[in-house]
Amino acid sequence: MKKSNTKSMGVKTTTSWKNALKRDWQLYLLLLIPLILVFVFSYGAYPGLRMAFMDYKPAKGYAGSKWVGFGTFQKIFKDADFIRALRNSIVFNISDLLVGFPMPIILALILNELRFQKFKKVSQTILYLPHFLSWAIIGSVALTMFKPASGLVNIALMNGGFIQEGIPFLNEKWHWAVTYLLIGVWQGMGWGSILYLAAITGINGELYEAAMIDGANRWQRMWHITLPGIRSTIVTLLIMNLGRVMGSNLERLTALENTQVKDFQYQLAVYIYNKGLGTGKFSMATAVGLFQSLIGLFLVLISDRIAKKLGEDGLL
Amino acid sequence: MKKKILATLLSASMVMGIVACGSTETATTTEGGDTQAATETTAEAATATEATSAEATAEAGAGMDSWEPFAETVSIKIPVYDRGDNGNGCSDVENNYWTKWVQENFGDKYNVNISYVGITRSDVMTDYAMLAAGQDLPTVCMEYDYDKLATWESDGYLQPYSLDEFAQIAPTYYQSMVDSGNINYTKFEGDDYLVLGFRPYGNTTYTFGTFYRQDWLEEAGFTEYPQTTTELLELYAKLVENGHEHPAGGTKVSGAGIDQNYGFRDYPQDEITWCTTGDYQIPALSTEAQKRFLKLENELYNDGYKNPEYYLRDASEAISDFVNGQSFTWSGYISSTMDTLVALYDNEPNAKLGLIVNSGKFTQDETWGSNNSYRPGSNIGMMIGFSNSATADQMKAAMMYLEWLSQPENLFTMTWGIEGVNFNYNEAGDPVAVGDQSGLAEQQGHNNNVDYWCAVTAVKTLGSIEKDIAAIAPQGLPQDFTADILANYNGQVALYNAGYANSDCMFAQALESVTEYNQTLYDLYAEYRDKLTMCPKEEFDALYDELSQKYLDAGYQAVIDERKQLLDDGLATHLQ
Repeated sequence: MKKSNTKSMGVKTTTSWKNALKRDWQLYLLLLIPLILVFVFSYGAYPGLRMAFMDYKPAKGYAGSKWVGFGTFQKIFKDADFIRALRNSIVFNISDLLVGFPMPIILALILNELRFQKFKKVSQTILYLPHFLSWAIIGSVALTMFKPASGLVNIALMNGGFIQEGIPFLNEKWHWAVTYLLIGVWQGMGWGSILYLAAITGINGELYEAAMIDGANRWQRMWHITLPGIRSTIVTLLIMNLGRVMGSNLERLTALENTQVKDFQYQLAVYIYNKGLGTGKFSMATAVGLFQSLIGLFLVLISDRIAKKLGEDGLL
Repeated sequence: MKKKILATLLSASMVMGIVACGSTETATTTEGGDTQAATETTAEAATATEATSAEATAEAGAGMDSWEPFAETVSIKIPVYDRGDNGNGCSDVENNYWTKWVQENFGDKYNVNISYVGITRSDVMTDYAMLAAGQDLPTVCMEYDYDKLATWESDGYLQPYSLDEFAQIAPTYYQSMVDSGNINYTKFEGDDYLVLGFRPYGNTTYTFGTFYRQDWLEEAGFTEYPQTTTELLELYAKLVENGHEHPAGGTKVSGAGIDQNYGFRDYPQDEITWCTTGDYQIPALSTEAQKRFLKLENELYNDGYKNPEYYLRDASEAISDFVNGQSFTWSGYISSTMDTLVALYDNEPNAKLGLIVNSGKFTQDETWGSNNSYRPGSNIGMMIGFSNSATADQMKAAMMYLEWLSQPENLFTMTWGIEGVNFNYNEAGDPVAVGDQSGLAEQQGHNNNVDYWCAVTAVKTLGSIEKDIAAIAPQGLPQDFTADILANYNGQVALYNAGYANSDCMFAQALESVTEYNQTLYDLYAEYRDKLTMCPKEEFDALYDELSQKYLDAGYQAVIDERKQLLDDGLATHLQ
């Protein structure tokens, strides 16, 4: 931290790092905890990235494994399974973003408009709950609900005379895609709305009062005050989500997998597990992971630059 | 006293193995002899498994009498299968009465600290890969499949050991390897890597059986279980008529070994086809046998005999179906403690079960090409290698553990447990396991602790097949299956001796193509086999050809080519 000589109206606005440390040492001590975690679990693993450039045999260690340069990457990029996994990951993550990203915002706006506090709190709790369910449980529930012949939803629809044959929610790839995306939205939207609700509470209440005096209705207040008030939060989260476009969630994909939907279900997480970690091919798993991270970083940087050009604060 | 006599018998049977007597034993001896001869001949052909030099160089030592406790505590880790829902017995395989018993009776005596490492039975390779990545491999790596050991050796998981040292430290175990002929399979690329447990009656699969609802069969007007697929389909039609919906049940594939095609091949087998596509580690899509197998699955699915949601159902649901009287058959390992059968009789007290018995006479269905053959094994039971991270002391302690476990009294106690608690003696003086051990502090692990003593012998034996079958016959049930299990064993032996069942080909080195494409092919197979099962009947043939080509292109052709090359180079066993 640089010592600044800048003074405004004769008041010293900055302080030396020594004074800051002396004054707020408890806070810096607290900061150490996440910093150590980040260094140990994120940066601490970086030396392991060299596996991507080796024919790494865990039992032989780094010293006993051969360097292969970009050989592993070349092999992966020629692998038809990788291409299929990459295509599916990109398509489904973008779809997830399109369907899933607006939902927490909409939900936060709706929750913010609820005036009956008890109902609001109960609703929020119910909406947060799916976030705490493991994907294994969600997968089991989904099977019970959506099996083509014996699923509760299909039985109910058939008994009600709405359909003649069960809807293949889980066993036809296009239906599966919709089910997969909507279950993801259901699982994440409640939890995702917390940040937006927190941001909404930071909006100056006087703005709403002034708008009401000027005759703005609820919809107009939402559109002209609430949404602009949380815009920077939206942009920040959008940038972070863009960084995950190359990622995929193995638990979610495994919980909802079956052989009928492999065409869509086979994504990078599945590829890394099945062909990398599961068979001891750690170099391949690391190479794909590194590839994902680099693309993710690139997307974050690009979107951050675009956000800044559009006048937003950005993330970095 | 009885225990001592039995222990001696157990010892004799384990060490002598194939040298038994009596009429049934004659069959065993013959087939055992055949297998041994076969393996020895093979070993001569396979230059990398330079056979019997070990016998000449290694001399059995004093064994336990010469052991001293280690000056400083030596810690060893021993793998044990964790079978989850599919197992029976105590649930914590790493810490239970019997793991503590080993520590107290072996570990404490020799200053060895033994811990057990649970290995997921259905995902062995992943578990070992993870342990290797964490530099935390158990002191010994064990598996029943030769391919897996070859892969581990190739990946550097294992280190060679001195067979001479092993013979000195573990003479009982060593002698068993010599007597069974397994001594010929210790080497990879010229060095001794493996110690090999024994598999009594290895050329049969009598410990695995398929139970069916005899009462349903009789209700359908059948007097015996169908001998051909054509008859089986007629039976299923009757069962459906009688109100049993989807009697064939069905679950999703949960491993490459599920769709075995041994009962769909033509016999005598063609050696090249047998060598290149005849195992079950990589499903043999593109072969005629696999086509027949899948065509039958297609028929069962399209005719409504198979559960239409089978691909979404796991093994536990198949068990539930059988237990709840919703499916006709259930297959599993036979043991004195069979929870599934106990639960069925609890739910359906009037149920009457039968066990499918191999007739011993080769029959091939004209329409389906199916037959009553099976997959015989060999004398080799568990294959054990020493982890590359094991120190000299740890290797020695692991060898001592194997030798200690081989001792008749220890093997007997691990197998049968405590008299009056885990087993009782019958009138003939043979131990009979207590069927339901749940709730006991001394409850044994799956199948009478098999996953602990499997390091020595793959099945428990009392010296004769009759006694051994009586020992594993399910207890505590209203029906007795002992005679059927024995008849099935004799049927398999007859078929094997007539040349209608052949052990899988073994290769003297790890196959690169298998390592490279194994997982890809399994993933593809799981996808394709369900497409083939569920496609309309008239589209099956064309779809099979199309998917077979894709499968070959995805790596199966490379596997076939490499296996053929090894066969040509004399690095593979021959069809006997």
